Amino acid sequence: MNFLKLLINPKSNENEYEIIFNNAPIGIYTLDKNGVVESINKKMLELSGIKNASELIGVNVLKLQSYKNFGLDKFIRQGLSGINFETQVKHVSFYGKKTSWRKYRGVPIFHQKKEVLKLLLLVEDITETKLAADSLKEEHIRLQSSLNSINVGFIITGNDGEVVMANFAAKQMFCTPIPSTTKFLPIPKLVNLKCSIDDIALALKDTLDIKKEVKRCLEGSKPFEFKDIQYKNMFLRIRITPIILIEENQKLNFIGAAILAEDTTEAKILDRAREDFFSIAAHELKTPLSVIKGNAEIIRIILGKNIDNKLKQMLEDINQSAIKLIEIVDDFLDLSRFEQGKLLFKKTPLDLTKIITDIVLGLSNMAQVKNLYIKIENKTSLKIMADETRVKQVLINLLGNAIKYTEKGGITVTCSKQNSMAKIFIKDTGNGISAQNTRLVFRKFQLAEEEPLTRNTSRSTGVGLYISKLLVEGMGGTIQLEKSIIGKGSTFSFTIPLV
Amino acid sequence: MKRILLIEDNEYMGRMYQNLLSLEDYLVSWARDGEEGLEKASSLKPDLILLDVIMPKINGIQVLQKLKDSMDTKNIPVVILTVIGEQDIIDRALKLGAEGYIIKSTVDLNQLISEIKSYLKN
Repeated sequence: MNFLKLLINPKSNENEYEIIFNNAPIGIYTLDKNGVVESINKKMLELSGIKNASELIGVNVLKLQSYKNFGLDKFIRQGLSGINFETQVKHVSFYGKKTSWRKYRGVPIFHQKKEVLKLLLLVEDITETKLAADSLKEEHIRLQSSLNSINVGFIITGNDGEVVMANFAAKQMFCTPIPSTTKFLPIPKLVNLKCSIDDIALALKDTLDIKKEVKRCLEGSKPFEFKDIQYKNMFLRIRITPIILIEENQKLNFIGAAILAEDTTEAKILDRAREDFFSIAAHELKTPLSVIKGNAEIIRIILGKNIDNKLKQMLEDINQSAIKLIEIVDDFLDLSRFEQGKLLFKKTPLDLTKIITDIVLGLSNMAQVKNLYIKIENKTSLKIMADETRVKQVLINLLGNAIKYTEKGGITVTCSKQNSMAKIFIKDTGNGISAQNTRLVFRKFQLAEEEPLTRNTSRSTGVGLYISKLLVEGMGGTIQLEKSIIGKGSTFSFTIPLV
Repeated sequence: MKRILLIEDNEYMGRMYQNLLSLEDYLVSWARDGEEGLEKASSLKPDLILLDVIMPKINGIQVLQKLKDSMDTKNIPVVILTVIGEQDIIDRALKLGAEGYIIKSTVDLNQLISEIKSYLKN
């Protein structure tokens, strides 16, 4: 009541109220029932940019152009008619230099609860709060628009597992009759579409228990990933990640989960096509090659011993060339399967010495033709754990290379035990590999020769050592070129785990 | 004279094996797809079946399954003869009861003949 008294008579002698009035951190002024300024506090003067109260007292604000410009006149009329008001005004200072935001509140004061006696106006500078709120709002809109623009389904759940937010892609994917990541419903429909965890669970009911997985993620605070989830005509990759809030005291707070649903159908189809292409191409090539090779052999059989030497050589050349082509196709098929992670190893305990002996025996003909020796030193009995076919393939490759690139002398195979591994050395007395090429020999399509055009076409396609490297590493071993001296020969080695 | 049923869709390949097997004095019947192969297997009751894998309509693995499911044909030894060298296919064929698995592109014909002889002995 005292405060009202003060307002009704600001020039009262009650000093205490005047002090409060003038020291209030918000602008205060009063109008009489016609809109004429009666009193004004210091803060209000400051906000108005006016030095003396006398400049404003006695002025009818309803007649001020600036009030009209800010749209305040309407509100003041409303206040004077007895209705409270609150409004925000973008205020431009008199000289048009400074823009600020102000909040005006109007409180009518009644005489005997009937007619309006005065209007109390409270004014605050809310520029900072307003700008902060605006930028927060802008940031929110920007973030939401970004999330809505990506074609990956993005869903945020709270700690209870219920959906807090879902982007357009997620809504389109799980909450519409036609799930798609390419064709979207009109935006207004998507905005209004509700998406609950039940909708998502229902959509995925045949392939993934999303509620259970979200719960598991929230409970364990661990992310999960699910690949190739079949849903309608799509393959989805779904990732569920806990959302971590780092609090000011560095404490981690888990506030929910983020679900990412990505349509991987396209990638899957491409992958499949690539895989099929290699496999089909390889088989389609091998069929006619096998016919060429086989018929050359049959002609040999038919002609028997009466065959002319030249003709015999021709048939042998057809046969060998077909075999070479089949080997190349097999190499490429291996390579493509390996690079796609499709090459499986059937590891069994094997007698290494026996394998080496068999392979050496098989290649002895090839060595004999070139007058090379091929011997096995210190035949220690070692049991390895490996895929028999693949170990043989590596040995054939390394020994075959040694024979191909050696003109004088021969090849020595040694094996020894090194910790838990068997180590096999293949030493030749051949051409050797130049220092700058030693680094390159295990690369794909890399030949040890200097120039691609000067390579020996009867020798290599440049994938042999690369495949050997992949095979050895796939079985848990390593392969290396131990040393090589031009004109003296090379030593390759590889390791395979012992049983 | 032993009868061999060759189930092979590729014309050149089929003719080649037919020529080879005839040289060895086998009676060769050639079926050009899986369906024909199944019919001939139950009507001719061959001593051995050589079965290709990649074929139209029904593939070799499906044919093998049908052969082994039928009382009529389940005792006829089947040898898979294919260009496919993938381990999972080999495993599947052997699990379904194939007697042998020969990769066309790597086997040499003398080897093939001696393997066929060994399957026919049993």
